Amino acid sequence: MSTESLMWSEKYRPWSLGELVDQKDTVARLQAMIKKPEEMPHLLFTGPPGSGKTTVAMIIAKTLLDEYWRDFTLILNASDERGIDVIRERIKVFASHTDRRVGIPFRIVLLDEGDSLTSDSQTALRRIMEEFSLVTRFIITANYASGIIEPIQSRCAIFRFSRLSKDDVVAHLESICRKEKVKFEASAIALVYELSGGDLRQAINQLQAAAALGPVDDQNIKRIYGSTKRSSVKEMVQLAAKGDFTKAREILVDLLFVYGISERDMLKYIFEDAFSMKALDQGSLARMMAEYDYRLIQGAHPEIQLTALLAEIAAMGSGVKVQ
Amino acid sequence: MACFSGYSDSFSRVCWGEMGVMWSEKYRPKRLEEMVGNEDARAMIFDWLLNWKRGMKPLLLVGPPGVGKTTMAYAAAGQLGYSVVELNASDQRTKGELSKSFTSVLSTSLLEENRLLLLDEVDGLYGRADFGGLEYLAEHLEDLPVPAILCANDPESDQVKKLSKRARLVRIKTVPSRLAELYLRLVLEKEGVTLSDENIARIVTSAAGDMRAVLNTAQSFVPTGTLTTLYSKNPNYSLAEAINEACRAGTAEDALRYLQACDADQDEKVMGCYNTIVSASSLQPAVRLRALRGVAGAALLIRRIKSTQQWRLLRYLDRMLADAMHGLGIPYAGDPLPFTAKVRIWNDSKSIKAFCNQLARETNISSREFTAKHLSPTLLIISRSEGGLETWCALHNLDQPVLNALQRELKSIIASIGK
Repeated sequence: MSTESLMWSEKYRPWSLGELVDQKDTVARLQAMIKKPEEMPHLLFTGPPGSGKTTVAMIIAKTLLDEYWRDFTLILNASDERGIDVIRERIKVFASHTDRRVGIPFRIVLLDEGDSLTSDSQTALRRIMEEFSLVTRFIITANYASGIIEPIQSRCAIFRFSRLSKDDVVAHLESICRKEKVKFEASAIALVYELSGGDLRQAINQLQAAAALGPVDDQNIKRIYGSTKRSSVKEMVQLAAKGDFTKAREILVDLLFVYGISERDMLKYIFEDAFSMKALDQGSLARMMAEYDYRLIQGAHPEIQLTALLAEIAAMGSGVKVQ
Repeated sequence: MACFSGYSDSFSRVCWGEMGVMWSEKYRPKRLEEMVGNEDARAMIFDWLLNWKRGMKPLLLVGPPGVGKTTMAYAAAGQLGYSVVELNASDQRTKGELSKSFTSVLSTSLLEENRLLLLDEVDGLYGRADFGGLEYLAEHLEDLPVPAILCANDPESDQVKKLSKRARLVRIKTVPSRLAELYLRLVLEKEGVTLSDENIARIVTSAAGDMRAVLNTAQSFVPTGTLTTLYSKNPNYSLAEAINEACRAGTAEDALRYLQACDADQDEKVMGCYNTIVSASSLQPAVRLRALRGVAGAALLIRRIKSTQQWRLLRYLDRMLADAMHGLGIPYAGDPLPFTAKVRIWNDSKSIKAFCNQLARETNISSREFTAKHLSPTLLIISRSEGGLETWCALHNLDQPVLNALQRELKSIIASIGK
């Protein structure tokens, strides 16, 4: 069974702007724009994960390029392919081809998670975007516009995707359950929304996994959420704050070395979790995390710095005065 | 003309102190037979000088520091009525300077007493600073009007290779430890000082045949009386010992000595300290924090040194580590990862990565995001689908090891869900 037909998140991925969950303002602007494709500028989509950026980008590609869209669209995830060689060898080569079929206005480069490109790569990209703008359009997605260098931002029309509303997500999840003939409890669907923080892909995957486990009820939803590595980070932070440094560090090592969670992601998740814990002094936490974050940017040994960070949290949590 | 070649800074700091006279000078043998080790070489040097005639090749003594090369030259000269004219690395030895010294030695040698020319540390004759010196030396060695002894440490150095054709090469070996011990005990007796047998053994072992280091180290023990082990740079002094002692040390100052004594690479030192701290389960949060802050700071320092290539920053490293480690009272631990964890990292991490990459591509998401949030739900979904994980892996060209790893992962997910 192919992944696309197996995974509900792919199976129910919308294929027209009208089917899209929420993002009404953005959709209205885009619909107006794609009526005149030759006037379409480069696009930058910003917004939280699972809010529909990639989906919309693919819809645009499919709408404009029709049945040949796969041939004339280069989809790259910048987070996985972010070196400057990718820009020079893959993007530049693809973008510079001038061959076109009748009715194809241009080629499209869909660059997902563009904010994970190094600034060198982004700089290399900026010339390519101008040079080949006659034949190629770029659609770049990012969580925050601030992760994209100014010169690229100024070359793009920016569309902000907001966090999906609870009503829309719940309605969408319920419709999937009905189509898949899965029984669900209303409270469980609401819980999926809370736990996934408006990330629709995550919500759908958790719903489907819960359904694979048995009934879609609160208990199964919690179980599924608890089994993710993202929730292991939360467990780690909570253990550290409770003073169980040893256990917390075991989880850290597991996440870093078995699952290859990057230090950057680790800090992002620790940040989200630690700042939601009222027991920790938010001011000291901010100063402290800023320091360790900067150290990792400088390239200091990640395991040592993150372990020290856990010890800091452990000391804060147990009320030890931190100078 | 005293010359303390081979002394490290820390030695001179420690040894000068209140003691005034260094034992290594005070007890430098005056006669060849007072020395220990290298019996054949000593006899040979004595015979050579006794029978010296113009036209004989000079001697080139080659051996590690502190084994008695300079002492042998002075002792033989003293016993046979020669006075020594010494030129060492502290003197400028360009062609011009050498020629000046030679002329003055040679012009007066016939009129006054017998002279022995001692050219110490010839492997320290450098190209630019001592321009032309080596060539001048090689040229004039064979027709010197006075006996000459040359000393060098490194038998493989270019200088030794160049000069050995014009001189008689004599290898001077390290002093065997039982003889070094004998000599040390003699000195201790004369000084009226006692050291435990254990300390004597340690001093002798750590000096590794360098008699001068034996005396210097022994002397450094006496004023404090508190040190239980050595702090001379020594490759035999392992990282484990250094960290153990540093953790036992009462003050950062003491801990510093142990850490400085250890010759380990700076990254190894930081990792060693880090592993030691995280392996200890008994530390109080505040103590652990202090220690880990110190080590994390040291790790950051290393990173800064490497990225800026400012190696002088390295001088702060041992001090930061000493401050972190002193008084922890925990034993050294090399590698805190249990074997089972390592096996898992080896076996499973690649397979999990392969799976995540594949699915991330197919679902248009980054593999980072997939691993963090979608790995476990997706595995569950696939395993409960028709044909299960096995069929899915076969369809997606993922091989048996990957399948095995994924099955282990699934098992642990199900186990964690069960509780």
